[in-house]
Amino acid sequence: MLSTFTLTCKAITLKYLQSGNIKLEVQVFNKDFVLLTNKEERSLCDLGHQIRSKKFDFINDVIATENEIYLDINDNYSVGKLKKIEQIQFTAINTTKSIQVPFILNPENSLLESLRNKKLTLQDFLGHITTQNISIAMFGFIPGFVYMRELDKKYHIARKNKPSISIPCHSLAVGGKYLGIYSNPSPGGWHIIGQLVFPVYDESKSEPFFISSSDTIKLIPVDKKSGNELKEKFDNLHDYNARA
Amino acid sequence: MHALRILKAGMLTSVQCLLSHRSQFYAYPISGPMDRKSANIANAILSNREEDPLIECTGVAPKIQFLQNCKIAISGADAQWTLEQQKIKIGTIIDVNANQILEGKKMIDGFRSYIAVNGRIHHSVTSYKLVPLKKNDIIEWSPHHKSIPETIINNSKLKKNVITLHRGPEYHWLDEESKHTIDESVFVVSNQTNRMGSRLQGPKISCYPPDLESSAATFPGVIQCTPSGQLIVVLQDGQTTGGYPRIAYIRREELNYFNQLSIGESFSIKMTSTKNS
Repeated sequence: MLSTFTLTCKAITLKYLQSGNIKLEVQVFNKDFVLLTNKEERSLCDLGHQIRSKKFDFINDVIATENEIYLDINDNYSVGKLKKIEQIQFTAINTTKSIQVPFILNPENSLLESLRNKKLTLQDFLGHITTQNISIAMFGFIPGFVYMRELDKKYHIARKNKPSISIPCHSLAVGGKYLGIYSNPSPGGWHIIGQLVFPVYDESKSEPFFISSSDTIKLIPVDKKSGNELKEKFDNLHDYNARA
Repeated sequence: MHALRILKAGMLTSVQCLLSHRSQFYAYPISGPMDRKSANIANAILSNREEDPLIECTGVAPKIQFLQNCKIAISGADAQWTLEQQKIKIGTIIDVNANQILEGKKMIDGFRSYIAVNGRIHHSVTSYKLVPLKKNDIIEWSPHHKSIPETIINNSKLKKNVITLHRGPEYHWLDEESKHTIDESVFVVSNQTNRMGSRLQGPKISCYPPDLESSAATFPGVIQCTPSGQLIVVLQDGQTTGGYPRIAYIRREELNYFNQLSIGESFSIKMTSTKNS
């Protein structure tokens, strides 16, 4: 599919990248950085990943969040080179696969209390997060952290008033409208739902995630005994998804 | 292999280098030297590569013993350095004999000083887990055998009392009074300052709305306005996303000057009228 840039700025250039159903507003900040934004689109993390993969010589690095792609640009930058992003034949919601992610259910009391306050049961909540494929909103906050979306509003859980000093690594948690995975231990204000049986992240690798921004995640709750059995049977998340 | 031993750690001393193999896409901070210009000078004096690790000292100098004859170079803030209690010059090659001791005091014209050695330091440096050096730590390096011409490189201007800012993505969220306040007020580097970020003491700045609807990219030099009206400068080890409006940013070169301001030091802001294009 061909994409086009539409230019409409006050005096010089305000640019829009249009590809399929994705339209990105382009803002260039003094040749220091570029923001590509779309307040509605939900696939920017995946598009950001694709821009990064192209290794354009004018881009030092890319940060992709829900509504914005940040490009750290260098002296090689030019408007002409920025237009090369048009060459990416990006199709929104280009989901490649669903990854099954088992977790040992171990909810924090703060989560149970928050659910009670919302007149919901843990079963209601689990039913909601485990019966659908959940998409990845972005990577961010700290290395190894994954934001996942698609929670209905009634299941949004406000963050803790007082953040926990340390959330253990590989915790699955909920905060506001997101589910999240803490791959590294960290202070945090999210409520722990449980611990992943297999990490989704390996810091020793240059591309450290076992999951990609275009994947969806199917969460599978298990008890501790079953989780330990899975750990003995499978090497890692890839192995589990290939053979389970 | 050459080595040095930390006898006293100083306020915050760590090994830093430019890290390029980890992406902000996966939330790894840029990290590296807080004053990259000064760090580059120390490495350049010794014919090292720009990306070679070196020792970053903050506020108060460490005390270091060198275990072999070697060459070192110091740049950045003057910590009143001495080698075997003899005053030494910064910005040039320093010949060190085995077992000699380098030490300094409180930095007098900046906040960060850099010590490079003639070779590549072997030290694990990660971009988000700061590992401060402590007493008795040993740092080893492989000396290179390049020729090192005599040179003096002065970083003549380490810091500025006026920091130039550029408008950030949410600058227009500031109310008119706050725009004027930023230009006309004095801000202070608060004691809530570290390698991740610096909270500024100053007048209350108002932004509406007070929060971003969704988290957005942050990077070294970007200035966030909190709902309480305080400004935060994201620094080298800072998070790569955040939820506060990004009202301005400090360009890379200017950030070197900002990072040489001491805790408690005041400065004013010059907001450029440059339009984003």
